[in-house]
Amino acid sequence: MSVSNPASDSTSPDPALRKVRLATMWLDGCSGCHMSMLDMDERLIELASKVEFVCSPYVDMKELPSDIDVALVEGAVSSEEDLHKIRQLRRSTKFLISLGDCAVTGNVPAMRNGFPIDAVMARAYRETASEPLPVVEGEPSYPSRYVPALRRRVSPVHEVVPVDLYVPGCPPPADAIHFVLTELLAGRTPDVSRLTRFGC
Amino acid sequence: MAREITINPVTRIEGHAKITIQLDDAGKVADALFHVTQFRGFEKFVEGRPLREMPSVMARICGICPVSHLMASSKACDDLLAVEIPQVAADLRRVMNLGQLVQSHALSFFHLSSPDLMFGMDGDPHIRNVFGLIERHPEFAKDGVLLRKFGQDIIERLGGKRIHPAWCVPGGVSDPLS
Repeated sequence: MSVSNPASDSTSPDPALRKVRLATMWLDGCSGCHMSMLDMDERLIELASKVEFVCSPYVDMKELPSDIDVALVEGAVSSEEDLHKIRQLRRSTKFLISLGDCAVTGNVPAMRNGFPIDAVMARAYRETASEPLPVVEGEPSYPSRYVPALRRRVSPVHEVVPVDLYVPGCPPPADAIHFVLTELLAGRTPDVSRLTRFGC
Repeated sequence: MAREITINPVTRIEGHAKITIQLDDAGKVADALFHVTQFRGFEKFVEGRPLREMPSVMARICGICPVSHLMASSKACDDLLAVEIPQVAADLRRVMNLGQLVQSHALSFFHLSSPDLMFGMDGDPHIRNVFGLIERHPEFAKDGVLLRKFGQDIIERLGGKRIHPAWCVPGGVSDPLS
């Protein structure tokens, strides 16, 4: 597929000069994949002249735009908010990349799938707490107001939305991420199998 | 009329959070809350797993400061094994930790906070980020990128990779510096 010549172009009169609209999102991950992206170092500076980060944890946009060319998502789908966000991202982007082992397989966040949610929350908020949370009649004994509900099962991204490209690794090396982005900018779909693998 | 202002998400932070501000009927701030909107459950899901896995699992708490978690976990494991690690290992761990301090602080300042200082707290949100810095303050942005790179290079030189190096282990470190 090609991202360098999109059919609709609303931000520049000349398609050749239009920056590719890139989004990044983190779900239930550790941000290591985003850090690996920054590990492109000076290559990121160079890339910044060709892409526009329209939505990302690094920028202050609160609303997801609807005309994204390429989106990279890190992290597994662990909460109701993660689910809502990834569905919205899928609707808003032409090309979706599962970045890193948590997005590709569930990985570390999915380790909680072997335990009931109550047991996980009790361990964190009651058994190991230096001060127990105040008990409010009728409310669960761990934070539940304002914070998103946890799904019973943590899932990789492709279990909830279709994914266009998988880039495994924990995290995928910066070289692999750079290759993916430069290949997509050149209009080619990259094959990352020689550059990264699960656990990397 | 009492109402609530929500800031969601909080951007340019190292994690997931939202803020709610409760206004009273007079429109004055009655309360302000900070909500961490992500939860993994490390405290529970490591139960039953081998001790030697712990440092590398704990590294995955955070991709910005995995070294901190590697160190803390390795030290806990050292205590559980009742061992005093060799001095060289302690020194090498310290070097990696210092590398992390450099890269993590560079990120926190240059990439995340400095846009507020360089463009102003009320600066245009479209440019108030590291990419705006790259465009409008390129030398400053490059300094930040290279400072972070320096810290990451130290970590990679010692541990073989920049993020989640498995090098820090119970009992010391897995490879000497050469």
